[in-house]
Amino acid sequence: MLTTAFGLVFDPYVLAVIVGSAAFGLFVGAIPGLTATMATALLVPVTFFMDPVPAIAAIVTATAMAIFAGDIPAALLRLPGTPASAAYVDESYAMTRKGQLELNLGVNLVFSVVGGLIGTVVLVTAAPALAEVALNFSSFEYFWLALLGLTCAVFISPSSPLKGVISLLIGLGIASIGIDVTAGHPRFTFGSVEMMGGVSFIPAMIGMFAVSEVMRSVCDADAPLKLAQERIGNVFRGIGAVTRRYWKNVLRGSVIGTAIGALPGAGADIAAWISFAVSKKFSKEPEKFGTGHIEGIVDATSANNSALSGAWIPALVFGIPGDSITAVVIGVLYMKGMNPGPTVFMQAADQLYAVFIVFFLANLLMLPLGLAAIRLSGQILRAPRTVLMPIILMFCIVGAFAINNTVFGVGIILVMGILAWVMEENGFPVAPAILGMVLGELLEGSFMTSMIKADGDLLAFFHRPIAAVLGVATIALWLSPLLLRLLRKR
Amino acid sequence: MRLNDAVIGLVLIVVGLLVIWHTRSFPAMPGQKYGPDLFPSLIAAGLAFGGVILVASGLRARAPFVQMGAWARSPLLLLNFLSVPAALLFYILCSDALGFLLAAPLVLAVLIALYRRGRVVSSVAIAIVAALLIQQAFSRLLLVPLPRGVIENLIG
Repeated sequence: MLTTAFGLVFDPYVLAVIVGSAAFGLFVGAIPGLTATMATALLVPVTFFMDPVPAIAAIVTATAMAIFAGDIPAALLRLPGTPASAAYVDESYAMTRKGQLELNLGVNLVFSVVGGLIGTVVLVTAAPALAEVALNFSSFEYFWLALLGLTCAVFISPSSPLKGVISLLIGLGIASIGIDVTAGHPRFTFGSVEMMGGVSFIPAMIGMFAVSEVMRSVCDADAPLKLAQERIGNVFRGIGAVTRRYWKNVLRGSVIGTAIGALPGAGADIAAWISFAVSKKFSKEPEKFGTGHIEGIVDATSANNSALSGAWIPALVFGIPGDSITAVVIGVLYMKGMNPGPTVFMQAADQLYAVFIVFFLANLLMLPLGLAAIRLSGQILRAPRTVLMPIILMFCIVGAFAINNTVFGVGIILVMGILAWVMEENGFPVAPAILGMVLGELLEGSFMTSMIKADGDLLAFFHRPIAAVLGVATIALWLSPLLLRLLRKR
Repeated sequence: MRLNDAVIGLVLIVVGLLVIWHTRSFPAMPGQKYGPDLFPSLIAAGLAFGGVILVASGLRARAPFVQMGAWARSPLLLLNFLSVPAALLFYILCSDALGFLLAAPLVLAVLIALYRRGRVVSSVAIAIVAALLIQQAFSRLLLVPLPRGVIENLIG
């Protein structure tokens, strides 16, 4: 099986796709305002006509590169290239001001690679083991899992819980458009044939993550960018000393990152924030944080890359995305016939192991290609946004069109782009809405199937042992804010 | 564009009530307790309820109902902002009649020249090159049937 998987990856075409998408990912990640999710959404139409392995390899590679590349403008411009670098942008820039730009970039590169590799090891071992358990799951367990996933997404979102819930409901509402899963009744289609299929997910993602970003970018009165330092020396000097001193931080950051990545709705950006905070809390010299101290960066830069791999665990095993990138990936997996779920490990084992190999390969390739991106950072960061944004918009249009070959897709990106823009302007997180859109059908489908099986008896959701545990956990999570408030009052 | 929570809440209440009203026309599933109206009406009830809380907190906050960003006060930035939905609308309405190779360079040229504040000739050149590259990549390599128009028919 492994030889077949190696054969699928080490094929000239697949390798060329990997290198090409690596370059794309590095570029998108390095440009402030363009995110790894946007890179994924823009890649999907291009991967539409590829075989499963190169298609998924392109996404894996581009996102890993983008999350690392986000660190480069953080150090040079004090602007995070992607939200995943926002947690330590000030620390990074303070290091640059102290003349430690090279050490900072070197640490970012090396420990992004290490974090990515550790996350991948966890993914490769945990996912198949979890799938064994999940094989016994029925619609009752899946209903609770979907609900638990949605609950996590709301709880983890940094804004107010109410706005998180509303965002989630908007996503679920959008998911209910079209022919309904059990009775086949067309809902909210208003007689339109194109609406019957529902809101296609890929155009919706392009709208929410790319078009809304273009809208934000063009109405930003942009100041001319000024690089903090023009010449970049040897970035690997001093890495050995940092590794000897902070190897525990690398491990801790990677483990926290993988775990947060695996939680539905929380991805690389939240992983970086939390591991940076943990690093400061347990540091022997917390007073140095904020003055250009490398310790927290070691934790966080490992965490955000490991979160990418962690997010694939629930995505592959349950079809529940760990972050917004895997939300797109799930759509791609379905399109490629690798339906996520525990059986994917038997039905598409060769392809899946090939994807795991790509994870290792992409993270290893990050070392030379990331170095090249650091060398070229001056040119990349000077790419004129005035030209870039219209071209990205045209890519969005063609990409949305390519999914169903109608301008209906372009209509979706317009509506969803404006919706996401209004939501973000008003403090509504977009991630829960995405999760709602992905999980809406699973949630409703598993509920309806369960109710037909149990003849409308709601208590059936607690009859099976695992379902009961999941159900109690979900309800406990809902009640936790209330209980905490009661405890505090005492 | 920051809207007062009360405004958003009101919109959510109206949408929620409309959806609930609409779901009452959905047929029931024979022999089942729950039908296709259950989830949409639960979601809509949730939205309306969230809306009520937002209205309450929004009215208490006494913020202005609409607060525009700095870009809205600069006519050029406002134009920048409107250009994105306008470009998409234009493409939706006209791409079929014009064909990709006329619609795309047109959209790109206008946007690039607008964002660069002039430099029309080079903007048009960039637009044509970019549109040709995208067209080649998607219609030749990826076999996407992009809309054909005058120019495509001329090239053959």
